[in-house]
Amino acid sequence: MRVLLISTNKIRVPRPALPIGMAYISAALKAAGHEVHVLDLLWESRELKAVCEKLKQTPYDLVGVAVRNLDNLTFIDPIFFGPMTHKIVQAVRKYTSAKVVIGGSGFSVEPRSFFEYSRPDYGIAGEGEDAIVQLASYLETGLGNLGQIAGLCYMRDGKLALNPPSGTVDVTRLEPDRSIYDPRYFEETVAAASDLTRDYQPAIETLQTKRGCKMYCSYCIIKKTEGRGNRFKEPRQVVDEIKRAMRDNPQVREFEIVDATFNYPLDYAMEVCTEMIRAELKVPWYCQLTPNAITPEFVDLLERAGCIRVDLGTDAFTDEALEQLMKGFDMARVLEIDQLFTKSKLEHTHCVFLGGPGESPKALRESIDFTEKYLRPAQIYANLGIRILSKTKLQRQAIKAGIISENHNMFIPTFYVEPDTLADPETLDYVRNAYLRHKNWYLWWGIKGQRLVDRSVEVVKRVRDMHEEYNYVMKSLPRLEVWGEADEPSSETKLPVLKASGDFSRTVAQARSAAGNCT
Amino acid sequence: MESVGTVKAAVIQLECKLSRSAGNMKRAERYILQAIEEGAQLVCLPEAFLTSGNILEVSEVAVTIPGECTARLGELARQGGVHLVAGLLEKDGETHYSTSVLIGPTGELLGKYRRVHCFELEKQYLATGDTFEVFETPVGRIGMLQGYDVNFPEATRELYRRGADIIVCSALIPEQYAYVTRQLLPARVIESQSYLLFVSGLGSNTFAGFSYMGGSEVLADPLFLEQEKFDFVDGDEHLLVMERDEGLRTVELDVRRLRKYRKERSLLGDLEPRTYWRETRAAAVARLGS
Repeated sequence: MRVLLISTNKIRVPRPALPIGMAYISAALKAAGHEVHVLDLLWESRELKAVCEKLKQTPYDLVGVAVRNLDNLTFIDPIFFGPMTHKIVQAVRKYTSAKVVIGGSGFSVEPRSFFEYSRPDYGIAGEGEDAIVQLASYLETGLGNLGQIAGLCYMRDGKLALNPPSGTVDVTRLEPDRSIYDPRYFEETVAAASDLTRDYQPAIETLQTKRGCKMYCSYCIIKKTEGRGNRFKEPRQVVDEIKRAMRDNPQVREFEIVDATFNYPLDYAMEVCTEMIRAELKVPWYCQLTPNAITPEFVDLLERAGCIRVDLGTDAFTDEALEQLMKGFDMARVLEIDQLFTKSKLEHTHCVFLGGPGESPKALRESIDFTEKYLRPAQIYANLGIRILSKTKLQRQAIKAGIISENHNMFIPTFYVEPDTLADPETLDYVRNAYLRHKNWYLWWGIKGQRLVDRSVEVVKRVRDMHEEYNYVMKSLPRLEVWGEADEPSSETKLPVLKASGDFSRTVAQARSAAGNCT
Repeated sequence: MESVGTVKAAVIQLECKLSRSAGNMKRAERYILQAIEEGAQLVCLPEAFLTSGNILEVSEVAVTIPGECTARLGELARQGGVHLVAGLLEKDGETHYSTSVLIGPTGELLGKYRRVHCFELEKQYLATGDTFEVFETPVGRIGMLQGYDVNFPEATRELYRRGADIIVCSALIPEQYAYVTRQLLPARVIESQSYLLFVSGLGSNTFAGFSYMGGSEVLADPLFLEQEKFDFVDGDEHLLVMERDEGLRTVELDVRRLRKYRKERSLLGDLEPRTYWRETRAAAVARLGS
């Protein structure tokens, strides 16, 4: 079967991410004997033109659309990728007789709404390596049972069937097909130019050591994309994979472990580090860590294993928000970890959300003061607000806070920003000034030119437009009933009734009362 | 006007014959009725459709506005409940203009546009207009131009600044300028972020010894279309292209979506009017001769 895989990711901040999800799918398809072609839209300035040209060049049997993110998850500068995916499906319909399947974590977080909006033939929620092969086999031979393909979304008896994902793919068998990566990912100028927090960024490779997560962060959807438990690669497999990747692409100088949280569980992370030391890997690398599971011994191991920098999923700089986000640690712990890394040779970055649940204006200001006074990270990478996705604790918190309604459609960008904080121009100025003062604190590329308070008003309008666009598309599409389930309430979005106004407090109040501070 | 949605527009590419006003009117009527039959809401005729470009005899052939011709056009508009744009040579006392009229669905004359740009020879016979008005109608904000105006980005820019959704350019352009005109039209529609109906007449000017180009087109801003369509390819900004035959064609214009696009991508905020037109015309002309 000839398959075209299209990577739709357009996010380049903090640096262009290799489409590792698509590479895993490619590897699985090739292993099953299929011919795989790829199109990476990150490098296309006119995405749909590129798609249409590709579709016209060669006849395909199956087109897979890989959606890494529903949107860019950024309240202050929201970009919604749903419309592009919808148009890609339309292009496949027009120019080919191929079946079209959508997958990736962006699809997996909201499969029902995504399917209903973009109308592919199939969707795959959760891990796709086994499902895509089973689906291709079914399409090729007519044998098999769609109902037994984990995570498959498809039309059954005129209704939308949503098979539950299994989260059981054998990770020990997995290795991404790195041959599909566009060579431009490895041009140092590209990497360096795109990186907003560092002056120099050499070409890197990425890999996963495990799938799944056992943490309980209130906003996280990894259980939908990878499953709840943990499945691990053998540490020796990890090291061998790194060696192969480095050998096959001499341009690569460093690598990144892209597990959502490398050090949870800690024992496994230490085993991987130990294996790297034993194998004398001697390649600089980096990873994401939770402050929950860091010990002096682990930091020492990281150093000896060649790790040069860590991104800490600190998530907040206030006890109030940390508790609400269910992080399992407090600011005392953050300080302790910060000091531990400051003393080490490792560069550390705190990744945080500002204005999360419970983070009042006062708490947010105090956190800025605290950070300036006590923390010494190489970088702080911050986001104002948190993307709310369905079936998360954050969604329930947002409903309780009156930010969204019970049946709000989470498919379209929707964010939690603590309403009192968003409605407080002085606090937003305080935040902005702090992020402008520190060259190594990053909040948003446009922060120099605009007050956050003004930007927030614009964002509220822009998100309202996204909801209007969604309703415009859905107007011509019949709603889909879910197979085997009683009808659910309509998920049509309720638009906030906003008036352009210089009075931010009033505008925010209107937004909150209508449909939330940014929905 | 929030109720504006999709508009069906009709382009009538008419052969405008010299000294055959009655025949020209008769054929125009037939096409207008056909357009109404096909469900058009906006029906457009070329420049000087009644008389062709007979400026040498303008004092004899021009009509008053309002007058008998606009009354007949009004009847037709009322009959079909359509908006109608048509180009006429206008007589106003001893002064003459090349004028486009906009007639509403109740038959009333909603407005007119007297061509602002006239070339040197024309100026011996025609006076120039002095404003680019935009008319708010149920089918959108309509601005009018005439053929020679396409050489002047200032004309479309002014209509853009005044919020025109649909620019109807009734034209009667000599064949020798066909290529250049076709190059200019996409630029005009991009800079005005609008729909541009270039409604072009056919026929021969026996006095001057040339033919008129025809080649009517309807265009939309390609950046708008690329955002709207999944299958946009370069060149699709031509929603409709006619060759050199007389006839009628219709096209759908989604004014509501265009307005949304313009709101998002407006150029207005980036205009720097204080920097334009600081050089005097005299200085510019003098430099040309140096």
